[in-house]
Amino acid sequence: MNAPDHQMAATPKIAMRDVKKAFAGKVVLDGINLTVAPGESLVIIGGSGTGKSVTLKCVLGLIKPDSGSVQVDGKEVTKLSGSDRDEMMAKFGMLFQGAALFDSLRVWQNVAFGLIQGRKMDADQAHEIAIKKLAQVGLDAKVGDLFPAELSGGMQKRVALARAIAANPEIIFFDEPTTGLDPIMADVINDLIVDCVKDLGATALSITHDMASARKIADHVAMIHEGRIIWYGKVSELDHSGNEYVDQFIHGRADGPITKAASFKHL
Amino acid sequence: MSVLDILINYYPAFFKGLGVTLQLCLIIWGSGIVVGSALGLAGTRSPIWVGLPSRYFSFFLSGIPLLVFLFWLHYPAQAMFNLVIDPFYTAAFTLAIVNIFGVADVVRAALNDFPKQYLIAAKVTGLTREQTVFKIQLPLILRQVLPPIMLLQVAMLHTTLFASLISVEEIFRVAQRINAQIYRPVEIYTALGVFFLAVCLPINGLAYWLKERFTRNLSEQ
Ligand SMILES: Nc1ncnc2c1ncn2[C@@H]1O[C@H](COP(=O)(O)OP(=O)(O)OP(=O)(O)O)[C@@H](O)[C@H]1O
Ligand SMILES: [Mg+2]
Repeated sequence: MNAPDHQMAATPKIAMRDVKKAFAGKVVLDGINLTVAPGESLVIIGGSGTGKSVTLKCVLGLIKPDSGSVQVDGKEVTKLSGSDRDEMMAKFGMLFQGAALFDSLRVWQNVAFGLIQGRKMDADQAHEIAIKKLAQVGLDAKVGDLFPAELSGGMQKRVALARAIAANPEIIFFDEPTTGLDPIMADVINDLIVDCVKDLGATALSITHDMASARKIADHVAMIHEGRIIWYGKVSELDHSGNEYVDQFIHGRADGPITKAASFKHL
Repeated sequence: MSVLDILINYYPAFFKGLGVTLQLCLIIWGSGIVVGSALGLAGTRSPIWVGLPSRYFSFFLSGIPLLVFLFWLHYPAQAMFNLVIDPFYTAAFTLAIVNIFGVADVVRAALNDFPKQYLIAAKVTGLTREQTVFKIQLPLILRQVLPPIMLLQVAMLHTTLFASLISVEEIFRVAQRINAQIYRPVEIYTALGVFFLAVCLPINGLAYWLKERFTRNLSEQ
């Protein structure tokens, strides 16, 4: 904490160094190296089962890596406990693939729940914030009184986004934010994500299969394959990366180095 | 003789039968819900040591007609060990076993189906372990298990009538005996039917209502 300011600014928001993780002997992460600067939006792309979600969970501290280091704001995530951990968690917001709204709670309560339960805010104040956040994602205050099951998939995603930004997080994680949505709704959600992240000045770490989404929300893109980052670059470099794995992935071709190496393993 | 006359003349017997049925129910329901829930929970916490054996046993039970199980415990099992057990306890035990494993199956399935994302969401939202259990998990799981458990309890109430076949003096056996004396099957069995409808339909209705109201969209895992 006593580092001078200019050094603080140089500390990456998220830094993963040589992170390895195996499940029952099966190597999933095989030395992941990644840094995300403050205010930057990094999107991780890669095929199914390549370890994207595991990477995210390592940063969240939900999975403990076998080796390597995961730092958020220069603090080792795996070594935190108790109140330090809570403090770290308080910096995070997350949008889940399936929205994961608590369907026992009304929409506004879903958004406000973390403020009331986690931050001990009183219900009136939390309600007010919830309504504001819902408005920010384009939802009427009336929607706040409904239950999640009464909403369409696109509206649920909006609510989930409102929940993710409710506590003004410094870092927001997006796990496949557009899967299950039609392309137009997906685009709306992408725009909202960009707006919300900018508005908060937050750092964003996302996973997606959806290249349109990646192009829209990313500053930088990292491609993961067989537990390693095989390409990292600016989103503008995506189309001339010179990497045949990246090329195959962004064009969704069935033939290429990704399938060549993997096609027999899964049979 | 009308239904009313029959009731007036034989109410002590009916009440006694009803009392026995009620006792059976309380034992079966109570043990089934308490022990069954505990077993279901233990089965998800310890899938190999508790979960697997209880799943196999429940599968095994599903292959035996209840009456065969009941009669087997009543005669051969007791003969084998040279025991004589009050048929009331044999019936209570048999039906309780069936209910316990039935409830355990429901609870285990609900716990296993619980979307993991909810737990992660709770963690990221900053909830403590207790808050997660009591505010998120418990309400959602209760909603999911309540309707099937209620339906199962009504089915168990129906099965208590089998106890009459090993001469437990419950309501059905009492009704049969009175009928043997006065031969009024239409009145007696209609009254019995109406009685069971009056008890069971509200419970089943409530179960269906809860189910309708709270059914979760499980595609959202
Ligand atoms: N808790 C766990 N226990 C055991 N294996 C796991 C666990 N979590 C993930 N895995 C395994 O790790 C591998 C990578 O999983 P991960 O969820 O990170 O894939 P992904 O890249 O997110 O894929 P998708 O795009 O399909 O979501 C998979 O083979 C998965 O089976
Ligand atoms: Mg994933």
